Amino acid sequence: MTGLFAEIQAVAGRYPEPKSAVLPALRLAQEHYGHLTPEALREVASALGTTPAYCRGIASFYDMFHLAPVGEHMIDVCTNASCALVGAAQVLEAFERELGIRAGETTPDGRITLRSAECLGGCGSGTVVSIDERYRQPVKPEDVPAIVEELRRG
Amino acid sequence: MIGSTLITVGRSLGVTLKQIFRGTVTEQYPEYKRPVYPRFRGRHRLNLHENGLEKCVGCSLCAAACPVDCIRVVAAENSADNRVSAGERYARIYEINLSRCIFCGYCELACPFDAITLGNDYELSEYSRSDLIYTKEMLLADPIKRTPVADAALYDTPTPYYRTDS
Amino acid sequence: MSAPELVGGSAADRERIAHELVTVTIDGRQVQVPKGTGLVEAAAAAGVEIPVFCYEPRVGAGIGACRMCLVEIEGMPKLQTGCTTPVTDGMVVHTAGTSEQAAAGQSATMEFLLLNHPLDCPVCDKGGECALQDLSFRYGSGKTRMTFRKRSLEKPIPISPTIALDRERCIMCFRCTRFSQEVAQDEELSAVNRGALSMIATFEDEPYRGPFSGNVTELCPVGALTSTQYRFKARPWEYEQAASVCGLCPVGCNVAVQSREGRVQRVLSRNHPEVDRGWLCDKGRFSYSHLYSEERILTPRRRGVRELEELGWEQALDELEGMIERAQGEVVLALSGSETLELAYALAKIVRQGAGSDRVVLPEQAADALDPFRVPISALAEAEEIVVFEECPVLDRAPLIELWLKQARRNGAHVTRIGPSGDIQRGRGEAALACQELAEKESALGKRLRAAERAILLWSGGGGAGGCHLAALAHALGLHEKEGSGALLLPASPNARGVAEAWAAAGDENRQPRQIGLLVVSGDEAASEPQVRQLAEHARATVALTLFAGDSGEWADLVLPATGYLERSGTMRNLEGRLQRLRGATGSPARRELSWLAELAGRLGVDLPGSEAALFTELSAKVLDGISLASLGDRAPLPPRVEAQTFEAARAESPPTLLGGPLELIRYRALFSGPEVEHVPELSFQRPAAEVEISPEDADRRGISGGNEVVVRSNGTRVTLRARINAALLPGMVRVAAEHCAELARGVEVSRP
Repeated sequence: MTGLFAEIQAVAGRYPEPKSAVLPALRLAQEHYGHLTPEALREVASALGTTPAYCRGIASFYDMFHLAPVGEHMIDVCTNASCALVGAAQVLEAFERELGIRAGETTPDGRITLRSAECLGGCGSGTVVSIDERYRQPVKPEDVPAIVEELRRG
Repeated sequence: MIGSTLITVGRSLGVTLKQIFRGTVTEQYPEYKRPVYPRFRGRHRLNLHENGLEKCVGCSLCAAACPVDCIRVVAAENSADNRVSAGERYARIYEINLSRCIFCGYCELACPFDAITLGNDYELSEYSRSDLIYTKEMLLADPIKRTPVADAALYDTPTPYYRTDS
Repeated sequence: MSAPELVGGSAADRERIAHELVTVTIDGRQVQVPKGTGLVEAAAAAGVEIPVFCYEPRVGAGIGACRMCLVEIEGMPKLQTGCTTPVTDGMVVHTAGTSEQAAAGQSATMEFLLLNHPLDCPVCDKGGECALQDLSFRYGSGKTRMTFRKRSLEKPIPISPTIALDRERCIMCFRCTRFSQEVAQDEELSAVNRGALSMIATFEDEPYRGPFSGNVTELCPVGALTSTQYRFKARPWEYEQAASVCGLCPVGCNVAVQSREGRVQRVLSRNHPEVDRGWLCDKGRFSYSHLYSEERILTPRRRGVRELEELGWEQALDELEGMIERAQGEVVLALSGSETLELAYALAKIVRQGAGSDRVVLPEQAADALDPFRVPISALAEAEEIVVFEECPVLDRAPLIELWLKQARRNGAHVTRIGPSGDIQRGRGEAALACQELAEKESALGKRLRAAERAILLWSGGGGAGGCHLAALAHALGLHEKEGSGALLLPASPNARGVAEAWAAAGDENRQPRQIGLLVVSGDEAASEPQVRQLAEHARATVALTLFAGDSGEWADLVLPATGYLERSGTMRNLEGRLQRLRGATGSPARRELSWLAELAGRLGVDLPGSEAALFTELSAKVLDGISLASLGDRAPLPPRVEAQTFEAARAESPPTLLGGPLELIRYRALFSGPEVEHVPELSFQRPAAEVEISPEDADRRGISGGNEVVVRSNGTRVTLRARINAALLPGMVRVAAEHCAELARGVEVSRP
């Protein structure tokens, strides 16, 4: 029995139904494994008394869960209406140019993953860019090289 | 009395004499075959795509439409090494009992892929009833061109595109 | 029009609100329905159709996924989905029939559903019975505005050896996933991804393994989930359908057996709301193809010098007649319990009146003690308290009952299982004791049972005498006086009660020969019984009526081909005591039993009619109170309860001590076993694994962990199996499927090799 298994069961104890703890459990598993491998999903399922099929159904719905390997840093660029109006497309292009990859890809060295995201909820000042789950806003195309440089330096 | 009889006989002979100098109307079938109407409905044929695959996918809609229930279709699944038709499914058995068929053409109308069409051949006599059950191979074979078709231009209805040959 | 079904809520809630009526106006028609009724049902009551794809009350409340049921409700600014809206008093609804707005919404929905749906109806197995095809014909525009290429995906994907998934055709109604999660609760099927990329999937490439998986093929409103066995076998307008009953377990699910060109092509459910509610287990649904196995015997066979040799029917009947004569009245009949009443009666008549013997081996003890506590199976769904004396898993005995138990739990019932792996752990053979204790001693469960308005007791395994023990408990709880309460016994064979009745009807003498001159074994189940096999060793001659010669071929002197339950006509009595009709779907490739039995009867001077109907009339006059075959109808009614009598319950005895080893072996017949499953290659993935279930305590003591290869042995028999730790199992017990048990005795030891 791994630490993760016990950790998930401890979380599940706070819910009336262990199955209700599937979201925090998946998050724990993702922190542990980096992304949700089939083994990770199996472990979550057995700790919650459900099936891996159910866990994968949930995990695949949310952007926060990764079913495939991702980079160390995660850049999400909002491309929804408000951000699009203030030039989200250009911001995304700038990231693509700077990183040399397309949205949805990871740099060959496995350090940075770039994704276009749906509304991140910071519509007041676009473009919203979420870097490792912390928001930067507003981001203009000219800010991009500095951000990438900062991430590359670590 | 006798006079009127003679007149009647003479008139009849007159008709006969007139016909002697006209040409013959009788056609010497089977030496001569009269061309059929372009949309004449004769024996069926099954068609192929240009790439050689069968158009029929074995959907049985022809059998469902058939008012005399003379079509039997048994379908099977295409596989990579035995691809018969274009879709997932093909007709493993396709049989038409032509001794029952009334040549109504409903099968042709029902077919979603123009796989079955009615040809022009009407010479369908056999010595045994079972020989009148046409199998898929017989229906797929090239038509036996023994029934001439009249020039479609002589009529006001166009020949359907799938009927260009026999 | 029956009363509309209410959506959701517990049984008590539904009862309370069912008395309040509300008035709604749908398309100008006023209708009064119970409060809480769904709009779709209310419209149906008013004679207005609201088309649906995703809505299926049997898999749970509406979720409004397909949006086909859009209606306009006065006072609401936007269109509403009918399937998620319960009616309220004074509601005025306009469906697509009368509201332009609703019609526009519905036609847009239709167009949207067809956006990516391939136009492959001629190829699709659902074509002709497809909800999408029918509704787009009625509500669709007939023209498409889509000029681009449709989405194309890999297809068909075998999500199990019995089910193929075509994701292109899927309209995301979630009926299948809701079935998997809510009804069968196996959670093997789920929707992955989001939005336009959503699709139905199992985990990785694992098959959808579950005893009820086949129901999704019937639930799917399009051709996305189809049966692989039925794939391209027939179109819906080509088959002949027989309204029959499944003969594989004592539930007796009503089935529609569809055949084409003399072969059964598929088995569908025929929804008897009191018995199966339209669900079937995979064994009942997919095992039909055993009838066409190459190993099935179709001609009589006689033991030759080396092996069985074929012979003609005339010779076979000569042989059988000679065997009966030589036996001189020392004949024993072994019945399987899978025979119809008529067939069992015909066999019984030949043995009792023709051969002059009254000795029979019945599949199990059958008792009518529970008749005063008779309830329809569907009462389980409404019960508050259910107690299951589960020595043998309910799922393996009567799979549909397990589905009803899940439904009961969803409706808020307490389900208490008493058995080796139950909520209250009791060892093997202690069910009667537990029953007695519950009746006599004070306990929390006993209190709840007495207080409950609707309580049901179930007995699964633990001996046929269970009926008496259970009746005593039910009587003590006063269940015969409560509506919706009762007690049911799950027998091991489909028609145990019926064959016992048929045997009793065939004669009233009691001549018990001491020796066995001739053993007549009817059915593959009896032929595989160790007890029958022992009798066969003592018999001077044996004759077996079986589908396959696997078991009987080893010892029978004469093997006669039997017909399968899908080929038989007749009646069977299910576990409730409901008498249901089987209707032979097709002719059998083997000769009908009744035809040659009538011929044999003629030779022996027994008066035996050759038709099922005539046999039933004879039986009915003797033991069935003269009921007619017609009165059973397509969906047979449940006979009324009989008056409860007071009776002395047998005292429960403690189980005998173990011999051979310290651990008690529970040998169970798994659901997916028996000749019907063994000859269906598609079902082999469902068969029980070569495993031994062991409690964590016993495993720890022996240094065994899950997945280890272990040796199970007793009295010189050794079987190598894989260990599976079952935390629910009572220490001291191990469970092994009968087909992996070999000759193991009751007491065994488990160790690492």
